[in-house]
Amino acid sequence: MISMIPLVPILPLVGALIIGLFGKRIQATIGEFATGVLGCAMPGLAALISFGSFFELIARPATDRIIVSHLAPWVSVADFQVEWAFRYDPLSAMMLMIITGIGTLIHVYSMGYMHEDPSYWRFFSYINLFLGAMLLLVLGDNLLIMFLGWEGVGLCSYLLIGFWFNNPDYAYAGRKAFIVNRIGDLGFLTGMFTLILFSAANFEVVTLSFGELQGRMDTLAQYTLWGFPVLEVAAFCFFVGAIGKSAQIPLYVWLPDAMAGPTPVSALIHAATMVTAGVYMIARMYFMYSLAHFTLEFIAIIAALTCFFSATIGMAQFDIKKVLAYSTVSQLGYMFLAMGVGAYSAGTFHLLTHAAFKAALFMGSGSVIIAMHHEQDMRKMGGLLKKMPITGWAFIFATLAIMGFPGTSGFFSKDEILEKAFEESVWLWLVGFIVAGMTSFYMWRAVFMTFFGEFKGDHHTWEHCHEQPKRTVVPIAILAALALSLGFLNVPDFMGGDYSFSRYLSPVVKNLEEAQVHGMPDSIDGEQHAPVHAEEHGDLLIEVGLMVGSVTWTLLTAFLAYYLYLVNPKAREALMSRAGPQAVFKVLNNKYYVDEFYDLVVVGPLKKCYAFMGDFDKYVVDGAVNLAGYVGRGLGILAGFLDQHIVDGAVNEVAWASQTTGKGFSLLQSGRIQALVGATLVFFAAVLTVWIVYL
Amino acid sequence: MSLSLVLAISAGLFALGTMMFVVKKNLIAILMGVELLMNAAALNFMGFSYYSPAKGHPLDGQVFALFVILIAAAEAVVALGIAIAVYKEFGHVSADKLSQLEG
Repeated sequence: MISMIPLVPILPLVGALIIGLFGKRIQATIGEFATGVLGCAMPGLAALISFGSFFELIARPATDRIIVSHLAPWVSVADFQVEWAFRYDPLSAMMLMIITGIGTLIHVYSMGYMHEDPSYWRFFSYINLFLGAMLLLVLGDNLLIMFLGWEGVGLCSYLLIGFWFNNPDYAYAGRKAFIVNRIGDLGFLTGMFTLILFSAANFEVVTLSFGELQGRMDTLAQYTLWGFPVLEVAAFCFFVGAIGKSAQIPLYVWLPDAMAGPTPVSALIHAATMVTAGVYMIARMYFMYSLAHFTLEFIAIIAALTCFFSATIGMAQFDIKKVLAYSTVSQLGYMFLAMGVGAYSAGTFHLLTHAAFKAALFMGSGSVIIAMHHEQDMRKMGGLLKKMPITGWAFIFATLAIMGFPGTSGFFSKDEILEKAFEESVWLWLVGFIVAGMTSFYMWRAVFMTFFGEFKGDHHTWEHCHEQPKRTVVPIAILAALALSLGFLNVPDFMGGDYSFSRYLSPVVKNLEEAQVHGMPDSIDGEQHAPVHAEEHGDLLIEVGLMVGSVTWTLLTAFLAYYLYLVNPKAREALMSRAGPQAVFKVLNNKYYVDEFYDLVVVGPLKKCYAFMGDFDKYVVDGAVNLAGYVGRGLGILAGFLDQHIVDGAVNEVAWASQTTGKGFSLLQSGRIQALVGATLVFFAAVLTVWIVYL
Repeated sequence: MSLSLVLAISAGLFALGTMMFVVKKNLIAILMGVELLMNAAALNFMGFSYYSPAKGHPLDGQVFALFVILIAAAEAVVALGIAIAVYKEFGHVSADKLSQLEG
């Protein structure tokens, strides 16, 4: 199965091509269902290969789990040699399973969600293309292929956010996502160029492959660029890329707007896979980040801020998808927090669990939205659990996971992050801790507003509201089950586990503390290091204390949501009627006016700048051009006069001369054949005479 | 008979042919002149071949004479065809009046 790994990204790309070229005809002639099945087939096959390969991978010895398949040369310019190569190792195997597994479930779900959409085929073509690009990003063995995938997912994100482009707002959201991501991509490119520059200066050949980069880190670490260590500069630039792609402050603004796309897109691209590309990138390049301590600190601070601010915004949103969007930003902040404190495996594990529960939440919300006839406002919902039991319970289980209820996946992953943050700095932990409570609050608020209490919409909608078909609810149920159970992959040692997930990742991703203890690993497939031991057993008390603390705190805020939104809404209304809370709510509901701020500070001046440049163009540049035009025209008239009377005169004289000569010579051609023959004879006789007489 | 006599007859024929070619106005007569020219040439071949044959190839001149007769026949066909075509086009075969190629 492992030898078939190159097929994994190729299959969805082929699917995208087929559906893109023939999908419209297939949908028109055979029907919508066939298009959907075709769309699900390729991701399904890719998922089969991914899972099969995974079991083959874990059967191998831990030192032999990196398989690089070299396919073909790509860029070959002097000593810059980049090839098409895929890297299959524990990290990419995990990402592959997330992408193809959740991807396939979401494809099946989409068959129900996109039902009766005229552009059904276009949707499946785009989302297949997205899967292909994302798999390239994850499987690429060098930075260039990763960048190719990075751009590919950005493109598909743009296409899918603006999927219903007839609505100008949606099209605008697509453009916004694309342009904001572009800023981040510039960072990624700059980082790549920095590495190429210093790698080429020191070594014969630059291939940009991760194995090669890792071996060169020690050399690159000795250089500085503009007074900063090269690795800090490169790591920072790459992180700028991650800020854009993974929606961190200050570039997070595109993600909430991205909810304009169809809900399966939000679940797959803007929750489970694409937005986690930044986290994956840092895990993939952990060897660089481990040597860039300032950048790591910067990441941790940005992550903590993102985590906090987006959670506060999430508490004051009424659109169910917006709540989930801000929750995603906040959870991504958690992941980067783990990355920032050097706990790469914890961040990656949260990536995995978050993919499961957030996809389940988004798909649940999508199911609700369809049942409510595209109503997204939670103030018009309520009591839907009775109508949609499967969706409702799946949503509730996923909410349990995201709040970190003991035993669920979020419990293990979030707790590990908080614990690692605590070891690094109490302040980082405090932010994470507070946000955990806020997460619990806004998620239960969403649950209570949507699935419990009285229905607040109109009677007609209530009558028509019903559970969705199987192909919609079964994927949600599967994901909810995963959200509950995935956590047991990484049970901490003080709870009787052995951090199996961290150990699984350890051949390719080593946490900061571990790397410091063992020194930088020389080669990526060196001997396996000991499993991650967070702390000695003396800290057991702290670990358990932190855990109990966060569980209590999240339960408390969950109860607060229960009280304010279900038991006693009067108390909430009384609270909200006061001026202070109202003002706070208004700021939060308007997302701290960040969009307005960007409009004022960035977009406005840019527009003014463009207007100025437009005027400059119109009056100065165009004026100069017009002046040059008039001068040229004057010169042209003069030249024309000269041409007509002097140059043409000469030419005409020459022509007349040749014509006259030609006429003279033409008289020789009498056309009388006998005259010609006579002349020939006379000439011949003359030549003969001369020859006889003189020779 | 000697070679010089044969050459003299041949030169006479050639002169007659040339005169006919240059002086006669009728295309047919001009063609007849051309025939005389070719026969003069053939007679030359015959004379040289007969009186001073090439070593090892004594019949070369005779064979050339046969070729000349053959070519003369072919040429007469083409030339008469042209003459008939000219007559159909212009209604006459007078070389003097056929001066369309005049410059």
